[in-house]
Amino acid sequence: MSSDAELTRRFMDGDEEAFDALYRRHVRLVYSIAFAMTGSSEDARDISQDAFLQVHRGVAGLREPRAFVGWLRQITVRLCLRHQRRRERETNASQAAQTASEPVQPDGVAEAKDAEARLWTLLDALDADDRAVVVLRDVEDMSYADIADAMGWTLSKMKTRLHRTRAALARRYREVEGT
Amino acid sequence: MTTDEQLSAYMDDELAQDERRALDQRLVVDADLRSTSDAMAQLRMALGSLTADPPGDMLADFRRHLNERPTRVLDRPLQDSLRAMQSTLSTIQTRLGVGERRRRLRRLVEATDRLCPAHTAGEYA
Repeated sequence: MSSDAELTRRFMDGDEEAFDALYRRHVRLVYSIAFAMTGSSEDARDISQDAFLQVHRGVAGLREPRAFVGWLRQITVRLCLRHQRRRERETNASQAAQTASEPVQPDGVAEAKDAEARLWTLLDALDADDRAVVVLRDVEDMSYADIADAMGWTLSKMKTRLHRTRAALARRYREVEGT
Repeated sequence: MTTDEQLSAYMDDELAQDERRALDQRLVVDADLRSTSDAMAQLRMALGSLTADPPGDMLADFRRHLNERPTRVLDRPLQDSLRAMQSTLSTIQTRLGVGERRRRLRRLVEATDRLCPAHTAGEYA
């Protein structure tokens, strides 16, 4: 199987099949980040397509083909943050909570659905940056260094933000779930 | 760092050995802290289940969308020229002084305009 760097180089030389291979390989990562950031499958789809569009359009500016995944994650996170900030401006908290809980309708018992809806509501109460660090760490299981890179922050800032957000989130989770 | 924040670092194995030992001791005697620690662990597990698979038609949809864009009607040499210009622009932005940057940018914009005015206006203005 070709490496990301090799596929990226081929795409830089105009090989569209190499782009398709990169797309297929990484679309799950991009979509999953966008879904957890927005709580909406429709928004996740739009953000994913925008991210790959930026990749398609901007690959000439990528200096190091080996950095492809980090670059793609940065683009995805930036698009998610922009989307969330716009949503924060446009909707009040209650509307946002309602919107976030709508698309998530997993199969299974009502209790599980309720628990997941409550989780989305908790995430929705976070600002875009806080939500991003928690999503990237606890949903996507990314390393501290990769998260700092994706957010454009220092490692120290990322850690501070993650620990503070998790602590606040855990307190709210305790209140909501009664643990 | 507050004790709750330390719990987060503890969960990621980010605490120094002495901090970890001190927190372990507190967890034994402090029921409230234990409860917060449990909530944090449960929350992490719950968050881990929020992953989602993309719909299967996304690449086809992407290709369709891309084919509708003006860039696709350009021929290959022209696209290559535009990519080279983007690369040059990136160099100009990072390596040159202000005066020279302005001069080169002006030349680049003029050259791009000559190549494809509509494309420049629509995509890179």
